Amino acid sequence: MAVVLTTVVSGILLGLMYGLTGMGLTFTMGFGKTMNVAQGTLIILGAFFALTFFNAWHLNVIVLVILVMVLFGVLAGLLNLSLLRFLRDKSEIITLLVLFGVAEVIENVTSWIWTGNLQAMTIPTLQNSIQWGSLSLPKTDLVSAAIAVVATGVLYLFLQYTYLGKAIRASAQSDLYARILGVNTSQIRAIIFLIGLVLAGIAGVTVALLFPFAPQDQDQWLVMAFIVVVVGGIDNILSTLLAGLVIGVAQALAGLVVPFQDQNLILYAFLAIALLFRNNQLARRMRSL
Amino acid sequence: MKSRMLMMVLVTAAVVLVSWLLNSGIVSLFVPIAMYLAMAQGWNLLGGYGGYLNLGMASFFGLGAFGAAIAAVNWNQSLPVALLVGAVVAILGGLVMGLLSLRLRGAFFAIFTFVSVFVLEAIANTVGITHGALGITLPTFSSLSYNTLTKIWFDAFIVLGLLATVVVWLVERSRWGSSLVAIKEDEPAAEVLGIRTMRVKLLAFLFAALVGGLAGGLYAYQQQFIYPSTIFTDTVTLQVVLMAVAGGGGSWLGPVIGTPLVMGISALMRLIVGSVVVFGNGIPAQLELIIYGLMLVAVGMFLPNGLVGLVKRWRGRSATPAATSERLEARGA
Repeated sequence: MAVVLTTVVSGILLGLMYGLTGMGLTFTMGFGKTMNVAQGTLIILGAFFALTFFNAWHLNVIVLVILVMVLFGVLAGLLNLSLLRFLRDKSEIITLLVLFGVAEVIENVTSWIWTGNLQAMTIPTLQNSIQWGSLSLPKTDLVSAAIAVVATGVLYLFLQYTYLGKAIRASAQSDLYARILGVNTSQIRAIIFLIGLVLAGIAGVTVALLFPFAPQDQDQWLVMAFIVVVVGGIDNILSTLLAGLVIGVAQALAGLVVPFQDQNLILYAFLAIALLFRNNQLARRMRSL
Repeated sequence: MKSRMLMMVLVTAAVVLVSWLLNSGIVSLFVPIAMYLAMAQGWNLLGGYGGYLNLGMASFFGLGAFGAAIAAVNWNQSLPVALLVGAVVAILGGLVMGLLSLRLRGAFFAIFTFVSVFVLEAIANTVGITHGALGITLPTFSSLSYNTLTKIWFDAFIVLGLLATVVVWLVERSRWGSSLVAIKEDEPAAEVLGIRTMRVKLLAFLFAALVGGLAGGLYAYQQQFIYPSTIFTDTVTLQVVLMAVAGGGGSWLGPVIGTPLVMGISALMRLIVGSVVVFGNGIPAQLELIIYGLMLVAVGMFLPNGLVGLVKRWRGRSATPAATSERLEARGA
């Protein structure tokens, strides 16, 4: 019983972080109507930024997150100025094509700079666990789960209560009516893209905290983000976090009975089942976009 | 029509003949071009005409390669049977993927197919039948010299490529082709007009699976060693999509122009950059992929209809369907 409890709790902690990895994709899809195929490479880029800054200056995790957020904001600005600005009036397919090219460039530049080897970020102060009754919770898991919850919470409050957040939701519902009501929708699109990228950066920091990573691991994280989106839908960022949680717990429980090397297959089986059940719903939702 | 067909047969025969006259070193440079021509044409029906961005060509390629390799090694089948098995596996995979994803529009379909490559790679790395990450070593043809083999592989790929080109050319002039273009222009309207959109799209998707599967099977034999990580990789998809779109998606001529062009530019860039020492470390292996990525970005930004679209616009003719829809968009329709 204690084993199951430990498994569920660590599944929840990991699941919150999974939810965060899907958050950027959900956000750009749900509000920006763009599918960012570069999400996986961006997450890994965020992880490498975090690793590099930590190794250079031994920064605190919070400072690391903020620094990566700023850098990803700059990156989003550059991408927006150089490419996406010109793609607004082009078809969705062209945008995807360009983002696919961007993804390949980022992945290969990353592997050029940091080599293709597996690397890990070890923060000495976070290497031990916190004992709580019979539970032993690794500090890295707790910190990354906390980052996920705080990021989602801030984003949720931002969307619900600020003018900009309301404008984003309005333009997602109807670009035309939002414009009539005086929202600068092309500016809003740029902001949505920026938030999506910054979320990928934050997710990258949590990846660096928890797992070893290499540039070619981007596929794993894109798949994870995609599974989270399929399970959670693209309407609500809170359901994205919940979807991550469900996946984390399911994966952890499956890990009790399935050998370690087959655990990825569990995830993919999960994806197939989720697609089967949600196909209609997603199709309808995408059609209304 | 008959004369065109005859011409295609003559062209194919001529290319095959020339390959036997040339030095095998030169022919070996054209083997990847022939292979990617086939795959780009396979991609073209749904991706170019139908406007569904299929980022999963590597899935079909890999299914074909592993299907053929498993048939050849685990079940001791001959080359034709193994290729057939590879093609059937790819088509079955395409059927499952298509039924799961083709009801989803645009972007969702694209990312689904993109993700399928990684899922299949993980499966191939895990299950026993593919020998996991160790990969499969295929039987060799030790009775034939390297030079002869190079020419045989080139001929096999180029015949596949030209056959695919003929099919695309025929489809372009058929009801099926018009249906695909209608789906690209406006899918709900096409449905209202009585086009069975799901069937039209699925058939085009399966054509991609068939051609990709055959190319993969041939590639497995040609390379002799295949590993999940080198077969199920997005770089295959990247090259296929780039070559089709750079030439002009939605036109049978597009891949024919785009494939040699992209490969040529990439070779030239490597030569130029290779002579300049980069950061004192020589050229990184990633450079080629960075070049491809940048080329795709450039094509998307400046040449969305490819070279074919550009030429048609210069000529001032009513251009490809894609150009028409773009003009409509520009008018704010």
